Amino acid sequence: MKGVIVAVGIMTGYAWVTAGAAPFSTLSYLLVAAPCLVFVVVYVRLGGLSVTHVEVSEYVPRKVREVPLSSIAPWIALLAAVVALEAVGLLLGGRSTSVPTLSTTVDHLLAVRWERCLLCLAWLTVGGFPLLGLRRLIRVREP
Amino acid sequence: MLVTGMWFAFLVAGALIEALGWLRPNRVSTLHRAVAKIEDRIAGRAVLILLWVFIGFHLFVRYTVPHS
Repeated sequence: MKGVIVAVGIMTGYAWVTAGAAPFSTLSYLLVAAPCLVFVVVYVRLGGLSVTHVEVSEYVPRKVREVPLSSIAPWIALLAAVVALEAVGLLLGGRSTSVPTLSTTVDHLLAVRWERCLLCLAWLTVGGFPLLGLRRLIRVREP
Repeated sequence: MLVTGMWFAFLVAGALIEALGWLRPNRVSTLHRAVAKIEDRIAGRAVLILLWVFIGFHLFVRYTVPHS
């Protein structure tokens, strides 16, 4: 529990600093690149991209075994609708006020620093889940 | 404005699908299970990582504060 609180504190601080960096600045690139690099290195080291890694190959099929393809059809339909609307927005130049792209719409949520901080925290959290899952599986399998 | 509303409608639709996934797990997958299906293949896992990296750069490096 203490570790979780420390991790959330560190991530919140990091998200706050990232949210304060000016867009397109070197600092903003570095602040986003750092967790990406850490994530990819740790994920690969834990065997997340290894075909032969026993933890991943056993874990993933077990989770998806009972998921029929038809049950994810609503998500595919939603994704198709999102892609179609995004394509129309991009065809109209990407900055159209009548047909804004998803990015243009989200920009309104990024206008204030604490909103950017919350979104950044959510982004970091989403990235952390697969690492925690893989780590837990490896611990379970260790004798 | 109409299309902005459509983006929010998509968000609501996603929430409804997720709720259906919890209520009728045999018929509709939750987002977690749908993503797990993609993770089934190594290429799917790689695409999800690339998507996560892209979202990070797209949102927190290239954002522009809109002028009202």
